[in-house]
Amino acid sequence: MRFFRFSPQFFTALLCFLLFSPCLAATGTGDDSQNLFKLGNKAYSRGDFSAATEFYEKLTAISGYGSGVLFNLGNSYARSGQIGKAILNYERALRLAPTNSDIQSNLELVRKESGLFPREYSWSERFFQLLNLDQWTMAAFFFLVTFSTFQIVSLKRHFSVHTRWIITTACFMFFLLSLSGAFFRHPLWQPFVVTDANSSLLLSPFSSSTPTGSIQQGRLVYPEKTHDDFNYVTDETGRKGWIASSSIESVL
Amino acid sequence: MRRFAFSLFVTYLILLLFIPFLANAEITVETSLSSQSFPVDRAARLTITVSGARSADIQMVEVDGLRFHSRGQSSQVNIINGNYSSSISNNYIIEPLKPGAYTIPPLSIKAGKETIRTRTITFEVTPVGHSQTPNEGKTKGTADESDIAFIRLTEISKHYSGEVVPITIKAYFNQKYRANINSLPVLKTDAVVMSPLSNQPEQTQEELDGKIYSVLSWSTTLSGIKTGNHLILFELDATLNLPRQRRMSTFGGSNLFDDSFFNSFFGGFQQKPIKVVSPELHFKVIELPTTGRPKNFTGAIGDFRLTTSASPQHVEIGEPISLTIEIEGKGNFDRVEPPLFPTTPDWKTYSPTSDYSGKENIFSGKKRFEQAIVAKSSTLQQIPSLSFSYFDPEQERYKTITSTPITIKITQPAVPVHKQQPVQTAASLQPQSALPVVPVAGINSLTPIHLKTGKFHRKITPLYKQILFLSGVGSCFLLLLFVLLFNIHTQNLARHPELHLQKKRRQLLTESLAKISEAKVSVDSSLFLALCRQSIQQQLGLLWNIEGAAISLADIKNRLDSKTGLIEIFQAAEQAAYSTTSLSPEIMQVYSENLKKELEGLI
Repeated sequence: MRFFRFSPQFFTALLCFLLFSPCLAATGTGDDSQNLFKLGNKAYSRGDFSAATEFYEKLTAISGYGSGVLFNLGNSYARSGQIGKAILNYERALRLAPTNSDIQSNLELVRKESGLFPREYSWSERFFQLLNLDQWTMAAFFFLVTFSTFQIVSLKRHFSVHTRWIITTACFMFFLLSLSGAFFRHPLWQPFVVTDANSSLLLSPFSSSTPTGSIQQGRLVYPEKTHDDFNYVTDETGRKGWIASSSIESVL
Repeated sequence: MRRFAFSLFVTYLILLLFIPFLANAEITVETSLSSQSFPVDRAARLTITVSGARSADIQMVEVDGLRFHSRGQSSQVNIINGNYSSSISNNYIIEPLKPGAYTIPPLSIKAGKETIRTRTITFEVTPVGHSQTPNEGKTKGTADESDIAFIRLTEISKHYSGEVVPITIKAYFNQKYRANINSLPVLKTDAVVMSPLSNQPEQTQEELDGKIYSVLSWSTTLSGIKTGNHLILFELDATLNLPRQRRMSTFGGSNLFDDSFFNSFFGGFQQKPIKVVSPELHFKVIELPTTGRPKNFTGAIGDFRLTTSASPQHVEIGEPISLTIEIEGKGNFDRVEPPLFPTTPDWKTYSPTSDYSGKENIFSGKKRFEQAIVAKSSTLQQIPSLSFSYFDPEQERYKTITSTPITIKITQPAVPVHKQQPVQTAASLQPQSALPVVPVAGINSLTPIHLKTGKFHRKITPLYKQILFLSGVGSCFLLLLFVLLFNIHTQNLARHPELHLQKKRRQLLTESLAKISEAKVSVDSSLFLALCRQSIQQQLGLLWNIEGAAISLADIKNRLDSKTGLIEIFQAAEQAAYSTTSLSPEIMQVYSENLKKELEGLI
């Protein structure tokens, strides 16, 4: 047992190490990240979009996904004509910053200018599309917390039956609504984006198969099954077909 | 139930009444041979059916070179819409001993009082391996297989590489046998590709050589990918359900159930896998000629028509026109590419999108291309004609078809278009419109880049998968569980107040015993006895629901058992209250143990 007894100084040192080591590491990679980010921004400003794309891609590979980096990467790709990649990065950025109006407006603009219009949605679909998966999840959590808090408060403070009924029903209804929204948005959370400019939807999962039609780069598709190097997908307009796995890229 | 039994009885009675009349019905005989020509290593089935009789005695003859093996007799009685009929079928297997042409002379059949004769039966026995007819497949793994199932194909001649060749695959299944299909026909070659077959083939019925077959037909296309002369065949896996032969009577005599009918009735079926194989076909694939090949030829082979249309036809400069190009016909549509729009400085073009819609089958259809074009000059009066080239395999030459120019009217815009103003393309007008080859002007109005990277994440994880969120949700549910349990507990206490009182008494007793123990350790007799007295009064007061201090020794003696140790302790405590009493540690130990035991017993 004596082996496990350490001095208070040891624990202090260990605590300091644990607290500061991530900061030290972050400082090291932070400098690199900032440098790459600045280099990317400079390249973008002088109109060298391919260089900007390279810097931002490198930064993403080193430090991970940042909403600002992904947004700038989307802009660089859009400027260099790679609409599929641009939309892919805007979609990624939106997952991290769903309320960012810059990302929303640029994504909308690129889609509009590229003729990437979704199909006509029903009123219920439009309603559930008001918020994304994270927002619906957060809303459900909010109503759960509200209900829990009310229940805790009601242990100490007496509420009339009428008040209890109204608050409980409201929380439950909104919780269910938010949960429904989350369930509706869940399958749409992980789309793939067509990044190949010359993609086609095929009848069968082999390259010599008859194409049923071309599919524009930037289209969101949802894979249903896979066969070798092909995915059977449904695109946002409802068209179905096989597409080469190399022609699409996952948002997540 | 009684009504049903009565109906059954009446039916049976009617049957009995009418069966004798069957003997008076006209007696006919029919003979059938399973195959008119079969090899010497096979056998044929001879069926002699006597209709209108309940029994028949067939006198077989001897034929040189043939052996007859009886395979039993089956009888059948039909009552359909009041019409009665009966028939007896005798089955024989004919085993040939040598090839040749054979004739079975008329056989005499004695049915009731009549004697009738069959027709003469002629057939041919061929040498070994000489039974297949052209384009007719066979089954593998069963005796008398060609009877059960086979595949027929439409004829195929020579074709060009990449040409789409329609073919119909017909699988025949004899209706006398029960069979299940386990797979679609599979093409056995690597030089030819086949379009996927439908899971729902066309189902028909055909009569061949007096036999009824269920026919499954698939219409598909083949396309040669390697030049040369290739042998192709199709295979299909199926399962044959054969009636299981019942065990015959061990006593040798005929049994009531010694009829082939009962083989299926009592014996069930045994499953036997079979492989139905088509005949081998020669598929000759030749290379397309190089002479006369147009520059814009993309590999389309078949017969096509080209039409174009444009909308709107009256636009201002810079306004997009949606050009629709339709190529319709028969052929390999996967090689049909959109005709190239002439490159001129007067037109700005966008890459077209395509959409294919098949007609009756994949061989015939229509491919539709939509292309956005923008006129840059008001002098333009028509959209130029477009050309499409293909190879016509029937005429064996390349053809180029050209669309007629479309007349349009281009006018100057009412307000001059600013250079930086985004041009609204056809792409933004229609969901399926064109994707610009170069970034469109509108992209220039993108919101500028951000100057902060934002917080980095190694992985984009939805909120519901994040630990912090899950902890929050878990905490909420734990809180709700706590509230629920607390409410249940509160309600339980409200329903059973004695539980609460019991708990309170136990708590007070624990506290009192702790104080008594302290007094015992300090050997303070007065305090010890005072605490004992107080504890007894407290517990009994709660038990009897009276003020504890008001309880006297007389009350305890009256209400408790006289043998209880509490009386002695309480008495000693009373005395100690008015006089100095000294207790030894041993007595204090005994008192404290008794007190604990007695008071706990009261709880």
